[in-house]
Amino acid sequence: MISGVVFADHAAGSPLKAAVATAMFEAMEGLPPNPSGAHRMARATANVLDAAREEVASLLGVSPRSIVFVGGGTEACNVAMRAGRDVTGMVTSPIEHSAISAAAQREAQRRGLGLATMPVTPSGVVDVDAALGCIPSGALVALMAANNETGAIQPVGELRAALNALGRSVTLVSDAIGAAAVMGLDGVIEAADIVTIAGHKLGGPPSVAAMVIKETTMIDPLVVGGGQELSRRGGTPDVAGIVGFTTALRLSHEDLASGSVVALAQRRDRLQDAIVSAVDDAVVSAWDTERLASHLHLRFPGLRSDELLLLLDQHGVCASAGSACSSGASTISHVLEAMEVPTAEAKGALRLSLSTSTTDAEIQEIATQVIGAVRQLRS
Amino acid sequence: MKVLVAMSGGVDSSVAAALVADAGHEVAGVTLKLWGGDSDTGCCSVADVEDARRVAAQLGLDHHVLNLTEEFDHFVVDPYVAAHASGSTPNPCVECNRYLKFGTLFEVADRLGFDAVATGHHARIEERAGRPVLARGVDSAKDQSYVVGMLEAQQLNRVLFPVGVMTKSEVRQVASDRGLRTALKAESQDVCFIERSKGRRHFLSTRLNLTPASVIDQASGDVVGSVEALELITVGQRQGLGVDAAGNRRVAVSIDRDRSAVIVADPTTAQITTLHLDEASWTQGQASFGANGMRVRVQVRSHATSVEGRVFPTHIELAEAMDPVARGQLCVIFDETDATVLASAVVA
Repeated sequence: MISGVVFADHAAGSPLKAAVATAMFEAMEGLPPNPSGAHRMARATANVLDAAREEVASLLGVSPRSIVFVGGGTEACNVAMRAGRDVTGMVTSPIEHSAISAAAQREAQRRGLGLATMPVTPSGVVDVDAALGCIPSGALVALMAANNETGAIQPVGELRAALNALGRSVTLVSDAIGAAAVMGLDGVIEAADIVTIAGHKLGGPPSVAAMVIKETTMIDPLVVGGGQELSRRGGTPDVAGIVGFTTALRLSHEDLASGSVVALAQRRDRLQDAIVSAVDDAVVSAWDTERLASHLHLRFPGLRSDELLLLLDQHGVCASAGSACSSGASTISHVLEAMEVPTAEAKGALRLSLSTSTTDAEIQEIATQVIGAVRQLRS
Repeated sequence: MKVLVAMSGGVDSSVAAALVADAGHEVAGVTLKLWGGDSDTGCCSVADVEDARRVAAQLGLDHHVLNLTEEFDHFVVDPYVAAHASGSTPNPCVECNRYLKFGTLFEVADRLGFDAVATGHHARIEERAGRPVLARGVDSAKDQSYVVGMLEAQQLNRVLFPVGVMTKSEVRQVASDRGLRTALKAESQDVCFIERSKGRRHFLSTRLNLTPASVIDQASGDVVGSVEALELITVGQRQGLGVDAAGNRRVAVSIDRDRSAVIVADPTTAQITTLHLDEASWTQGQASFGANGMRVRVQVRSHATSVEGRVFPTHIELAEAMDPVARGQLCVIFDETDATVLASAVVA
């Protein structure tokens, strides 16, 4: 924990919650890591794993068999893009995370399939009517639950309903990694054949993700050897991590049930009002559509994200431009490109992503520092 | 003073950051992401950024990454390609210093409220008559005053070259004493945006139509050979142009784009005694030439020693003949003791 710093980059990964770390330790202290074995110690670990799987399934309203634990969100998305039998083509939205889009490109090439892109509106939401034109029956389709940069919630249920109405059967993948911390996923899980959720966006460990897979959906595993996860993911499962994931998911569900997420949306709106009223030309991305309560994505025309982030960092506010490569350099976001945001605006993007633990005082501090940084860069 | 240190992830800029912090300045490290395309030179790579970040952390400094890929394309890569296309030979490292490290980065530093920019270049800034003067680095083998020779007095006022007073081995020793992970890191010598495994020819071929050309002897006018690509030939080049009757390697003396020809000569007649200049910029104030010009030392390549000459407003008369120099090369003019930079110019 670093004191005196306001963390507004929860969308990149939320700091590990103390309750999660405690649960991981308490569940696994003294137990062997491998749940496979012909003895009581292995069975004890297997029991921990089974209980975690049952709890995740219960929280998500699916059967335990539907849950496959894998080694992180990117792996989950990579495996998801290998799903389906006799797939006729691949279709993604242009605003997917690269874990989906890069995997889709590779898989389309590997399988010799076409890769189509669904159009999005300027608000950053997939246009379902227009999308139907590029989705053939038998396709593998990826549409995220909500965009990780702008927070715009995507019409996953609507897309499935529209496809059903046309009698088109598809394998629908929904990456809910960016959404799961603050959004109920019942509708998405009902609509999609595969949904991915990752631990580190929930205040859990980063190396664990759950895939929620409909029992009729074919999976072609990426990692083989050992036959774990009903032969859907080889390798000794990270049981401690899975306990952490489960605890973090439970805490997120408690936040949703208790109204904490609604309160977060109100704090986010206050932050938005404070910044927009002080900076005339600030543009709020996805302002006119349903957004995740955690996200405030802004564009400051004429500014450069990296300079804004550097100043914010110097003043103790951790934020993001929305997209960062592993070097930490910000680049123009493919999401904003898809939304046809003018380049001068896209270069000045700022994503403030909050959590239910973000306080009013922190909201005030973020507003003060963002406004101050924008004014300094424009002085 | 608030100082922004450009940290490439190499040992020189690592130690530069350490020394600036030691001096009591308020310091932040910044790594410039310059090249966004494919690379195998390690430059601007994630590994370099990580090295810089780790060193900054070891020194207790904040570290940031600035993405200047668009500016790099505009000011360095595109002109590099255009220069090759037009038959001149660019020096992309010089242009990167001119436009990025001491151009865009200065503007960024201004906006962010930094007073000065420090880099790991081996050069010194001294004061003469109340104004800053660019001097050669202490380590003559590593001296980089040539590649920063274009800096003007008002820029020098805001630049720090902390390692210019040290030899390379002293720099490595400081890094090693402090346990910096870059202490033994090898130096990058290549043009960062050209993949080592594929080379300059491949890079240019993806951006230009390379023109096969004949090699024509200047004296006789005879075609004496051919080259695969006119754009890859540099004036002054000896390699790949064959040998003359006396067994000497021919030297490229000019590029004739209209005829798609490389004009060559034997080494003796190819040599020049006059260097014509464009855009001379006098960093210590305009010189007074007199009828016989002014005695100076002249350097036209990064890794070359200077030669003696007399400078006039638009040309230099060299004391000894030398191989021809490609148009577009930076010419840095040092005082006659070869200690400080008087001016920089572009070879016309």
